[in-house]
Amino acid sequence: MKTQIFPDPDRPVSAQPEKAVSPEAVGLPAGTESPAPETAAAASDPAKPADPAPATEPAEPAKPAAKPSTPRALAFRGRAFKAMALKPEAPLADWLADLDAALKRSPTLFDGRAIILDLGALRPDHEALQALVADLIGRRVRILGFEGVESIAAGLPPLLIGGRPASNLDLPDLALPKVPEEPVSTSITIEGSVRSGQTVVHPTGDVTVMGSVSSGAEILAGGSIHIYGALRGRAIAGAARNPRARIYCRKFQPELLGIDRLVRTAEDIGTQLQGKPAQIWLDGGAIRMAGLD
Amino acid sequence: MAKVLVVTSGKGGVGKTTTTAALGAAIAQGGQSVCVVDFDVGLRNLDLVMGAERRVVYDLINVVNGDAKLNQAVIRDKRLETLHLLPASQTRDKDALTDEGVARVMEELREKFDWVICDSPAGIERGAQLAMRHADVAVVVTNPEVSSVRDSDRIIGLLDSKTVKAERGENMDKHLILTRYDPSRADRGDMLKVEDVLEILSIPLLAIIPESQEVLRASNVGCPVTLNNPLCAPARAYTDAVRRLKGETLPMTMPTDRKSFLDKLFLRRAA
Repeated sequence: MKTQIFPDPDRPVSAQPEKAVSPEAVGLPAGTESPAPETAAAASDPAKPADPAPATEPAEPAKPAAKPSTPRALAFRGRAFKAMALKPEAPLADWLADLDAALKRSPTLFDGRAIILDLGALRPDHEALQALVADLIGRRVRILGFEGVESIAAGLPPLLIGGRPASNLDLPDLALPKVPEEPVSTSITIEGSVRSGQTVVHPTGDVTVMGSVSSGAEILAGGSIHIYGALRGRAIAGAARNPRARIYCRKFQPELLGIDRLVRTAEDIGTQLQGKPAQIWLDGGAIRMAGLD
Repeated sequence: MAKVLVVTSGKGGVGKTTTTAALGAAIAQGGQSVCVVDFDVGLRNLDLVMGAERRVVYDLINVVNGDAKLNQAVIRDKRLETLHLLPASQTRDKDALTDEGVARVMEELREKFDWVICDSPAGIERGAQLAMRHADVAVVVTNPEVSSVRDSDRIIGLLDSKTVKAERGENMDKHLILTRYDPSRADRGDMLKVEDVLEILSIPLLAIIPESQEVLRASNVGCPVTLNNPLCAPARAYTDAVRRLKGETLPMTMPTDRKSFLDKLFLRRAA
């Protein structure tokens, strides 16, 4: 019945093209050709639907399939695939670190991928290669073969030749992850005092000093300067051509004040604000000072 | 573990060497072993103030260079057996000191003594920076006048940046000794007042050493003032400073040489 019919027509059909291809693909010796048609003939015999099946019949069609002793025609075909090629470079430690970085960004980068190792740049000796292979296996890199060297020791994946460059594999997640842009910090704070001889230069923003600015010390800020102690040294605000910058201090004893290229020395500052909390700003091209109380 | 103390000021002539000798002698009088080290290579004075100038054979440079052993160079004081001096070289200059050599000598000194007091040269250059480099505690010596105060301020900045302790991110212990202080002149405005100096420098005050003839007298006889006349006002101030260094809390008084009530009355009138 159905069980008979099913295998019968199938076999010869599948056997036919296989037989046709195999000699030219592999170049089998001519002598091996003769059994192949035989099998085909034997298989085609029970295809005749004539006999109503006797009890032994089902065994018959199974025969040709179960015949292992007969040399089968094997298909060996050349095929090209895209594989990922890795080219280790010296110093190897750095290269491995880069690889680790890439793996950290996308841990599944090598999962399920065949990797060709291009040794053209590194040219390691046998021990170094063994170590490298172990390193890569430890990183779950499955090495399919090598290229770029003349020979490979036994026990390692085979040497491949005739590799052609292909377009780079599309690995979107290998690209550097975008670091969220930090908001530009425009001010700095100095916890203590700025001592004589010390300078604080911060051209991009405000400077806040929690302590004092001593005589002989200097603060230069692109923005404003805030001093919660005494200002006894130099303070130059708005150094980035910012006429709206100001200087604030809790105790006004400066040696020099400057805002946006305008400068005043202690001598021109006067004594009315000495020791008092004060602010200094620019008003129409002139330095103005006033107490904060 | 030994404590390394540096006596520094920035400005010259404010009393670093006097203070080093006085503090060293005062600590040694308490029974702890002390070595005072003169870092002023080329301009050594500590040997004179300690009265050991005629006993110097080897010096700091010899030990730093490995020409002499530390015990060969260290001079034991004749009056106090716990007090020692490591003199500087007079014939060399500060470039003869190497960073590694100084580090090694300081380590050796730490093992041998309870206190190591480094007398820093004036200035902010290599010599001064090497003297302060390995210190655990700093004593900043300041006169009550603006130039000295500003130089001390500069030195405090260096203490907070150029010492091993600072580089390790630790806080350098800094104390102020105000020397040559004359309360009456400060009152008249000829001198900065204690509060003014403290406000500018903002470090804790260890002692106020009054201006006194005793200091010069002691220097000239080659004896630390705390040994020469322990009862005079500057000596008492230094002794109090040592007690505060060791952690005692004492009220800050203005030590004055004893004068009778009539003397004071007379002085007031005269002034």
